[in-house]
Amino acid sequence: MSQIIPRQRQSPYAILVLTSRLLQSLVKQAGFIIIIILFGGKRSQDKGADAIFITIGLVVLSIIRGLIAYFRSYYSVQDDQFIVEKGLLRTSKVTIPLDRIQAVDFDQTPVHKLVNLVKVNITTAGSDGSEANIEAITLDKATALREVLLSQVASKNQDSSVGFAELSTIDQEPIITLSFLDILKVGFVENHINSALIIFAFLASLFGQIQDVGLLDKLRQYIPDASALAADITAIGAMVVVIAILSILISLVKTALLYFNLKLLRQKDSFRLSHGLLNTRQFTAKDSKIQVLGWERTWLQSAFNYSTMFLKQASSRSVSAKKRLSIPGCRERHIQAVAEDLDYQDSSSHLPWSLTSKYYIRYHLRNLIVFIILLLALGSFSPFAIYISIAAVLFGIYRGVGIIKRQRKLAYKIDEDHIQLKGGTFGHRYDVAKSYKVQAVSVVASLYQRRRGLANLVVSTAAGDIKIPMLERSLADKLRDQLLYYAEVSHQPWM
Amino acid sequence: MWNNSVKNIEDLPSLEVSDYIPIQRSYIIVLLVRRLLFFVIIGLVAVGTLISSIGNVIAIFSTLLLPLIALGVLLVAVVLFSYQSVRHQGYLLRDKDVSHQKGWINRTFTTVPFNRIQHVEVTQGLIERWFNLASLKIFTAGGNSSDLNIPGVKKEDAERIKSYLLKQVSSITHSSEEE
Repeated sequence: MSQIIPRQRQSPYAILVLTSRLLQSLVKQAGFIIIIILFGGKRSQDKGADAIFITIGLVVLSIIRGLIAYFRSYYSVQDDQFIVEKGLLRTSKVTIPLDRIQAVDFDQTPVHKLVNLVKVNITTAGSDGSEANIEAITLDKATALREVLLSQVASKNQDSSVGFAELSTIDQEPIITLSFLDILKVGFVENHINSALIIFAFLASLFGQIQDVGLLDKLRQYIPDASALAADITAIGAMVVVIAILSILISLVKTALLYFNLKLLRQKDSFRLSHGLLNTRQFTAKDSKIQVLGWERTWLQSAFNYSTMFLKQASSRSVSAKKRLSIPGCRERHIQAVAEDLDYQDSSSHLPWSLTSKYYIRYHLRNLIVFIILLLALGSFSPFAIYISIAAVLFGIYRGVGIIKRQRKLAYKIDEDHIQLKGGTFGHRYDVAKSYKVQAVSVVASLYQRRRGLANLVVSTAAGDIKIPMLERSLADKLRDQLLYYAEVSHQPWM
Repeated sequence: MWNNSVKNIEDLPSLEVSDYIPIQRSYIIVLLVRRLLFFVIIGLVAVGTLISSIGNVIAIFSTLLLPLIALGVLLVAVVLFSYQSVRHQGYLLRDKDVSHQKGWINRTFTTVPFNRIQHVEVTQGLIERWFNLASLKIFTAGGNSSDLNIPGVKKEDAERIKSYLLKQVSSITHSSEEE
């Protein structure tokens, strides 16, 4: 067959990108040694010279490696295969049949932006993780390559007679764009607990140092006729306020950096998502490759009516975490629009949702109570018994409320078109997958469940599992048979 | 085509879980050899200590008594779990799918339709070779949660199932390409 894209090197400017990337990894690897050399027991006048030598050495080494990497890397598309060659001493040649390609995504670091190039990541669905990437090519070439790679896939599975040129010109109104103000709002309703934990760890160490220096004692002097306890409470209160403000700030900055200029575009049969301030990313998800559509909302997001939407694609294990397009700051209508494009709307909206068995609460509460009792029993031997028991009871109440709330929200619906699952503890979440795309169904029953004739139903798609807990065993079996039937009689491409 | 909707769910072919073919009992020994290597090493160390301090056997023995009892309990548990895991493991082939049952306490029954299989592998470890056993691995796309790993199948059976599965998979891909 013909060479669709001839064997070629990356853009010459790729040398710069490769060199900077190699320099970064060298500094990361050798960082420890560099610190030892620079801060070792040498006289101080030598250190300046050492620093210069080390810097020059690292830069030269990176340039050499960058040049080698550039001159030894080739990519091409021939005979329905995408080929990437790399390496001088240990050469590698990755060959990917075009119909195995799941997604072609672009990445841009600040260095890429400087020379106006993009990094191309190609993902497959193989369980052996045969991924490939091209470090730096021009956006035009990257776009052309993506169209070749993805259209080839389309033409194999279904007859799409649209030419490459036509594909690239269909630019519609974006489904979602986030303005800077939107991003600030989205950042504000993010989950701040992660940010808070980072700050808390930082402040805890700082607090220790403050105590060492004796600042806390000075603080106590400044508060008129207050006991040490009052000073401590003031300090803790101040800390809580500071942590809260800082974690919101961190979330804001993180969100702004990651989701700056977010755009979700609808093209002929795919979605295109791009965002990022320093590192710009562009993802493409073909309709046929999307396995699961989902959204979730924390309680804070619910208050502002924002959801985070997920488009999950098939991918191998190593990239599965990255392989879901997550779009924050979605409104109800955005999700509706995407569901409509993908034909994921509830086709049996007149039918009621099914709930899981009441045993869900019983089972989880029983486990929780056993756990708390064990914790109390063990804690009673500790000198901090009182604190441990307070913490255990609070934890028990928190989890107990969580279990009851989750059971109330858990609901599912399975018909010949879709598997839908609603859930969430303090927030909400929703997942929908097409019934014919199911690639395995499991019925799992623990000892407790077998005694009561119950089971969990786990529906696996190429992009993750949907788990429906605590069904009647006979119902789980029936649903399994039903889903297998839908998958087995289907001739539609599912990936 | 599949959009011919099924109104009566009761008419769908149902999977009888009890029909599965159990895996070879000799796989218990493979599991035990693999898992007991640890105990053999610990046992040798214990015997070595006892022998090297022959004059003082009773003292050594009394200090080792509790750890030995704990080890013994662990040993019984490992044997019991290995035995039960093999006893409750099996597979089931139908016209259009393959199933695998496993687990003693938590019992899992997973079914993969032929038209979702990516590739099939037969692997054989050293100990498995002594007993002419093999593991049949059935891979699906994406993550690993839906892959099947059926151990303790006779080598010939495993090869036969593998070629049967591959034939089914390729016939499905051909028929769907013709349409």
